[in-house]
Amino acid sequence: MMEAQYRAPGSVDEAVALMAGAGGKGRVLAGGTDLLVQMRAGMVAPGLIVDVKRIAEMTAISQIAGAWRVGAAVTGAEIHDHAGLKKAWPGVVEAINLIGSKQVQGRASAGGNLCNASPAADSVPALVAAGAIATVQGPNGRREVPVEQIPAGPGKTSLKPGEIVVSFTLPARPAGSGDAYLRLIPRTEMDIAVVGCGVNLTMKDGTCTAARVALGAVAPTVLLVEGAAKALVGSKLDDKAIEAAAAACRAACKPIDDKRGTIVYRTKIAGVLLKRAVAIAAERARSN
Amino acid sequence: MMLREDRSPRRYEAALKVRGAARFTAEIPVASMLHAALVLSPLPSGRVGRIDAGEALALPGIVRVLTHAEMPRIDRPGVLIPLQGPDVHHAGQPVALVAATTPAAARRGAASVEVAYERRPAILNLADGEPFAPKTAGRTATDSRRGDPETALRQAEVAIGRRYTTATNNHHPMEPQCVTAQWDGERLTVLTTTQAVFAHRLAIAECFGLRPEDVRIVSHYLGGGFGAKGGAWFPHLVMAIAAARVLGRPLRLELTREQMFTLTGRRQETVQDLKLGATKDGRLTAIVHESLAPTSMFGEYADALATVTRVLHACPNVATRQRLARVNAPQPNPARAPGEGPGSFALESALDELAYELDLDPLELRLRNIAAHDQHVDLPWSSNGLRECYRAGAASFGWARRPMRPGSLREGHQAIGIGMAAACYPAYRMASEAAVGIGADGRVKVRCGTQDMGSGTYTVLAQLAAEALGMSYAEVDVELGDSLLPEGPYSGGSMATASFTPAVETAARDLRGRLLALASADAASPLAGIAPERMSIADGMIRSGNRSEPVSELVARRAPQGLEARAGAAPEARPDFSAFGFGAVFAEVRVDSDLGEVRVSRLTAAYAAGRILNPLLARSQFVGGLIWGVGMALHEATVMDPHLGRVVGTSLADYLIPVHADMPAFDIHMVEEDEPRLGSGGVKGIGMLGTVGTAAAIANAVFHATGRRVRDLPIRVEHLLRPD
Amino acid sequence: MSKTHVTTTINGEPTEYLCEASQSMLDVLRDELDLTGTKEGCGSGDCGACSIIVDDRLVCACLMLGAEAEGRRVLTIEGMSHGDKLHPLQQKFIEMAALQCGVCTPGMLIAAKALLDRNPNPSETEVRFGLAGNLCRCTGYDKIVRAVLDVAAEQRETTR
Repeated sequence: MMEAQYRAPGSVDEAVALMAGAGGKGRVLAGGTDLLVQMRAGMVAPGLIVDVKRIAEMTAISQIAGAWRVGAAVTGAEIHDHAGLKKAWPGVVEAINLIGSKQVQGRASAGGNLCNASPAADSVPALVAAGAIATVQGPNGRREVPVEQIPAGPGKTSLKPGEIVVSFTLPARPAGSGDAYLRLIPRTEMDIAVVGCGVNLTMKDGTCTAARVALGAVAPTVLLVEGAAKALVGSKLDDKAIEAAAAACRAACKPIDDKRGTIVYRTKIAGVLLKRAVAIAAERARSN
Repeated sequence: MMLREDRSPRRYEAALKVRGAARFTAEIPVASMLHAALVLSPLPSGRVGRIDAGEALALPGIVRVLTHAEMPRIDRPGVLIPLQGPDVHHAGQPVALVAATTPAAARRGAASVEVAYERRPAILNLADGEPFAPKTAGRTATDSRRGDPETALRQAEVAIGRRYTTATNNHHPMEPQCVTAQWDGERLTVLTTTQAVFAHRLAIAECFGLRPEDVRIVSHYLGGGFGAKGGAWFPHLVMAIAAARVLGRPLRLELTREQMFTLTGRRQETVQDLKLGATKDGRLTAIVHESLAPTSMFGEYADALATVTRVLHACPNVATRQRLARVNAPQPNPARAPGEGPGSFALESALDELAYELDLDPLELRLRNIAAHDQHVDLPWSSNGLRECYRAGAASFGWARRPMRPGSLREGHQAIGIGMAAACYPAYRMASEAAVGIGADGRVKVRCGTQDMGSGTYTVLAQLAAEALGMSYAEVDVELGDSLLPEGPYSGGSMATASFTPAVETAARDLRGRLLALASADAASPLAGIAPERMSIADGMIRSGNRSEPVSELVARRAPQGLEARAGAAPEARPDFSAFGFGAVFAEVRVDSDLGEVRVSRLTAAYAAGRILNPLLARSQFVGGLIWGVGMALHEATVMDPHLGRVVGTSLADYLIPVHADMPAFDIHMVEEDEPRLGSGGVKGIGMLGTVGTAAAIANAVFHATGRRVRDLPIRVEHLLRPD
Repeated sequence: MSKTHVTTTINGEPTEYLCEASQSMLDVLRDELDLTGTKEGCGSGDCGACSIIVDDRLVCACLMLGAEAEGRRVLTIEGMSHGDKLHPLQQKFIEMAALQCGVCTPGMLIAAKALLDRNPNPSETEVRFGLAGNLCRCTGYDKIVRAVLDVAAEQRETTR
């Protein structure tokens, strides 16, 4: 076993070059909330640790033509303090802020949450519901990927060797839009979601004109539930439409039984959380 | 009489702790020390074959890899000292120890050791084991019987029979167990996280064939224990000491949080069958309490699950029976309110169920069954404040406004429920010595070889000496946590304070008498010639009429080396009374009807537990006890994989300890009791009592909120899902 | 073995140390710098006993590499008091007995300071959720929450 090296490059190009040079032994360090625990437990022993928190592009939040770009290594605490982003995407911000404690928020990033590829990652259903696009850079240059295409299974991503998630882009959307994220956990705080649900809606004259719904912790990867969105779009978010969307959520669930929750419970709760998240997102859409 | 917290002395060692300056065991530097890391068996049953340490030994910083082949043999029946042989009895059992120059190097080394195993059949579930009767259950008899409960049950006007289960829990004090062992020839110094410096001194001396006086055990600050730093820690303590001897260098072993799931004991899971018989007007006529719990393949431990059942409520016909079954799992051991916690969940849940069978208010049912004496041993109570606890708790909580019908109270999508339970815990004591001295500088010193787990032992030792001497609290220094001191009690079973209090008070009174006699006999003292019984000491001054002298001046003049008095106290061999602390717990819960989420919103508890030395710290102990009940009721479960025999999830993200926002508003009432007959100076012990009854009060409140009777702890959201 | 050389500021003091690339800030503080007030409760970011403040952000020292402190400002419990002068939170924890065994206490105090530095007027709920990352097995949190709220109220009073 080699003693690891630590590098903190100043640019994405440099980081990608370091990762390429590490020949598969490199690990990206963003918040480190997963990596350090895995290293301590002996689960991973990287030869090179590439700290991306000194890269301006990966640690900045900016607005371009109505769209928001959030660096993949921006911490939850910085996102929490960003009034503009919070106003535009309260559901996304809430979801990122639910990752662990305040201490973890001081370190954890949406990029890390996505790349750790837990089916229960809190930020991912909200980002998927938001229609977020990830900017990814690797040895073959940059590409843009919808967030829902990145997780490939528990602990697995579709990223190619040496690729780094650089940032997320939350698209511009019309007035009358709102988003929300809710999850269920056993304690009041600090837990891994038993079920998570992200909803993003656009309302015009009381009618839902666009919707995206995503569920976490009910399948090997976060699910984009198109059936739920279909049930909502064109409706006035009446009980019947919401019940149809909840039914679509329940139908989409392919959960496991584990100590955090049973299949029956997770499936039922997916519908309950959908209803509550739709109510919050709709309220936000009305006041936006 | 209600006690005032605002006049209580503040915590003795708090100023050090808030600065981070109190040095815990793992923070005491020892020269040329090595660090240990453990290699653990992934299998629950098997035999260790070839151990390949080649790769590990090639790593930087690795000094040696020790296996059962290199370790000295230690004869200690009933406990599994690791590295004594090739047999594996539970997953997580240490099979090798890596010694290295740094903790990180040791961890890397441990990860590189390759171990071959021969797999053997394992019993992984309680239901698959063969039940047998243990020799004892905690400190009590395994079985008990009075009257004819079977006949009484058959003839009862109302009878119920229910099964209750509780989960395996781990203690998880915030400080992981640690030992630093230093050998100097045939003398041994052990810095360790222990709840029992003297018991561990003796047992370690026996293991290594040493004289007890050649073994020194030190534990100045202890980051919680709750049972996990007593006998449960002992086998690994011994392993590390033996390894240090083989290595010929000081060795430190600090457990990881993961290892605290398997190497430091556990509260055993239980299956309990409770049968109650009663008259229509709610007098108990029969109780049968039968239980089954697991123990390890190598040790025998049974929580005293039936203690509360035997004494809490009046009933002429009672039978209790406890059985164990062996499984390939870590050794269980006492955890806060061992037995009384899970046992009272079954009893006090069953009482609530009986109340609904009778359509009788659950508090009224209990009021009709207050025990006039201890029917189990047929002795009078030293005192029994249960009725006053019911009254004070119910009044403060607002119990009288509770509607009987479940599901009556709602707020939005929350169902609100109210439940209660009673509690009791035996007033245990053991022998203790203590010394109280005074120096020429006028400072008082109390020396007692007990420990402070965080409960406030430093504080009450100082307080007791100050009060008995007439000196101020600020003038007292305390030394504890060292086997060089006078022999003090174990910190557990809520018995430490009751054990050392009479010793400290006797020593302090003796010292006071000597000081007064000195003043009386000293021509240079303004108090010369005055009879000692006409003098008093207050605020550091000896006074009689208008004459006075500071104690410090007297000591400086007549005893410049200082004075010390030493005393011992031991429990009565055959007391003619029975001593218990009592309590009543009232819980309010809120249940989200769609999600099944349960939150405890209010907990009111009233306790009658003898003399309370420091109401401020006593309140902390009661609240601390209650949250263990909240954890037991709603969160805490060590889940074992039924096929692999391993703990599922070994971090504090998996094992759910209640967090700030899980906590209800606490409302604690202390009913002070006059206990002249107790040789403990009236002290009964308080640390355990808060954990008794609490889980039942919460489960009873959940029933009241939802109409769902949950008999399996912890209560999970799935239990409360409404059918579609 | 190649080590990383780090220049940083700890509790206001310029500090230099050598650490392994994979060594956590917690291990650096406790093992290299003998700053043992920062406690180790889990090593996985779940208990908060190792809370420190890095460039005004609350973090777990066990989730940060020692190498990452380069050029940062680090505050540990040892820097919370100045000589004999305790921080008001430390003083209040003593007065209200908001501690027992003391292992969670330094992290709890650092987290409470970080909370009040950002939000001088927290509600009880904000305190409870803000300190959720700090586990305590002894106290039931009750006195801790009340101590933090008390200090906040007193500080508002004095700055008025």
